[in-house]
Amino acid sequence: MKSVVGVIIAFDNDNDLREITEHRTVSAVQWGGRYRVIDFMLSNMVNSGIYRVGVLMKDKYQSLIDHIGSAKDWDLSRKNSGITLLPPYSYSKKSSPLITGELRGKIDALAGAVTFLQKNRADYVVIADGDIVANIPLDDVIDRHEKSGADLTMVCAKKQQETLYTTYVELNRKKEAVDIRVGDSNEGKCKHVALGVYVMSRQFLIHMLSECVTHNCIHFEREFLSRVLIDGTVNAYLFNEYACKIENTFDYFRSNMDMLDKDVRDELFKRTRPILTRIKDEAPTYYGDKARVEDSLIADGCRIEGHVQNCVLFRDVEIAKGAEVRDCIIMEGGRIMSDAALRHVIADRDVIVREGRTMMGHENYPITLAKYASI
Amino acid sequence: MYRKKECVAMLLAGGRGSRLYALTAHVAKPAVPFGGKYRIIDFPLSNCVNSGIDTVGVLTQYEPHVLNSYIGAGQTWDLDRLNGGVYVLPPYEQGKGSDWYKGTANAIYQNIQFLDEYDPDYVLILSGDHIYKMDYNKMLQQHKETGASATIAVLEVPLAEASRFGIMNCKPDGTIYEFEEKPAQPKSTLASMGIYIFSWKQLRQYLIDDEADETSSNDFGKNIIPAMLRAGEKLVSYRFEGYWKDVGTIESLWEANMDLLSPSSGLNLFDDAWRIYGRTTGSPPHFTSRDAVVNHTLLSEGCEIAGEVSQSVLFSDVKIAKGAKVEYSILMPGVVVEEGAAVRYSIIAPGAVIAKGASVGGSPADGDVDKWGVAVVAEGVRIGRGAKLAAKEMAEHDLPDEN
Repeated sequence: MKSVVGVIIAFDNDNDLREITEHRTVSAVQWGGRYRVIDFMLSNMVNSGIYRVGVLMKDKYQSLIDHIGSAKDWDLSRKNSGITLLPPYSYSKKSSPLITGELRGKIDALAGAVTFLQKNRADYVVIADGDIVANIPLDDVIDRHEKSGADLTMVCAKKQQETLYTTYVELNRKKEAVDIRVGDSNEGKCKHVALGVYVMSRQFLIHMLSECVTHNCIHFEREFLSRVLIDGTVNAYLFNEYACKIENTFDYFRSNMDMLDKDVRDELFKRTRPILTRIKDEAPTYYGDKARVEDSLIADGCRIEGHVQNCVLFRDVEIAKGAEVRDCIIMEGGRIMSDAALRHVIADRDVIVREGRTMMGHENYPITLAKYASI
Repeated sequence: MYRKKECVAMLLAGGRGSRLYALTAHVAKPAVPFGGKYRIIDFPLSNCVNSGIDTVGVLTQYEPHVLNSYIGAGQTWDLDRLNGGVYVLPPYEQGKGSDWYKGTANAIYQNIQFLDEYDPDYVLILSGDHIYKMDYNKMLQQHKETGASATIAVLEVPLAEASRFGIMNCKPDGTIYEFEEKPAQPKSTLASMGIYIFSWKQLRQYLIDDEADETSSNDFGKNIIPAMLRAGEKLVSYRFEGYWKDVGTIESLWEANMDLLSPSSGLNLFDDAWRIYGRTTGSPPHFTSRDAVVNHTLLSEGCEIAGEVSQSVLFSDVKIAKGAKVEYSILMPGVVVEEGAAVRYSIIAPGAVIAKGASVGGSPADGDVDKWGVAVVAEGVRIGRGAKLAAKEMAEHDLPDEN
């Protein structure tokens, strides 16, 4: 395989998870019992042999930095490559005409890190949004890109629902994009959506960034991709396995609940392509004498004495005797005390629900309890 | 580079652990899985790090491959250090010849050069077959305060069991005047835990002298400690209170795992102030389905449970099918228990398969208690459909399907 550098967009564009993203970006949100959303893309890169990874940040990034640490847990703490954190305004304006000091979106962020792209003399670049939960074989994507001779390859999935910020793609028979549009599917003509993973040669990316910056194009999906489409070819890599872009609270809730399905888990967690995350050294989880657990995904370090049904429990959660927790997501350090009852609740980190309290949301509007909340 | 360390730990991990039979056929005893996500060696290594000892030599000899790759660069225990860290020390060919480690003392003798590199004031000797949490730094403080040549950690044991241990006979101030290995008539109930702190200068000389003695079996308990006592060196006991268990036999390994399920045993893995570190597998969280009934059990990441489980310790990636029943058992990583199978009072080694309708182990209440024992299924072994392995039996090879 040719040499590849990865760039993860670890700031939010149109994502909004209410309380959950108040103090962190979607990339840094806890997901699936023991992960953060960015673990999926970091692992995809490492599992595909990409050991040079830049992480572009904009705001609220301390939580992300704390999570990544030295990047040892992804084997990205390395001498000659490894992880490069790219906070905003990393490089001086004087170092390149592409660095404008603006930070309005992906194009500004990528152009602002052009020095990083120039230094890493890789053949290809993978640009990936940090809000995707999927186990994507990027090496295969790069391989197909190389063989196709296209200018750019984007990872696409079949359209399942229409949302405001989705990037829709219309493909011809050769799986080449004929139209890329954000926000509406052109009355259903676009049958696919872009997941936010793009492969192109490094030289081509730098050239296109120059095209965009010099013409003041801001929006990556609307402007960058359309410009590529006008003069060149954009190929689609169709990804048929489980994928979810976490853009709102509903996506977040639903995708976590998807993990209670064995087939989905098998698509996402593969022995040969493990999803790596920060190691916390929790003890195994203990089920007490009266514990009753049904269809739930539970991380290490929990102590369960009560009734848990259709839930995702993160590390170090305690469910006391008589507590009843159904259709809930309880993040790390949650304490649900005796006889409390929760339904359709997302509890952020270190939430305490005291004795006998009852909280109930709905499938379509789960209640979110903010970090450190005490009910 | 300046490498001086005040105290270096040497962990004796070369033993075969022959009383664990099939469980140590291909791994050294310290690498035997314990407690749902650990291996035995995680306890002394985590104790070292938590006690502020950052230089540890691990002396290996028997079947070292699993142990070597498990220890790796020491990242798991935060022992990947610029100066110090964890080192695997197998026997090696020396200028004057080569030798296996002949005994515990000889193993240290052969690594005098390694120790001299760090110019330590003290050396902590540990063994790799005990489950306990201990602050070695407190013991080191006492060693310094008393000015002893050696400090030996001791534990109060019931008088009835004292004849199974090395017994330290002490004066009221804690100094040791006599050491008796497994005495028939114990004079004291203070048992040696196999944890020693020596002042390195003195120990170094005793090791050299001991090596020169051809009749010596080069063992700390049998030779070095008695020699020091004879020479009138100051040996002081260090009283340890808390959970400690030698897991050198199938029964004791099973019991120690069961102790994790009992809040009153004194062995607590949920203690943030004294974490036990172990290498994790990278499996997703475990899943318990609606068909499962799980009580009084420890479960680890990657498990998929649809059967009935009680009083058990499940390591990572264990699969228990609907209608299967597991009780009072230890299921090591990747074990599969198929539909309708029953596993009771057993230790199932990594990757073993208990096929449909098979039955492994039995309760002490089912028959003659004196003949009862924990059943063991060795690594990767398949117990065939409907096959039966009685209590106390050990399956080292596949059992065929029964009709």
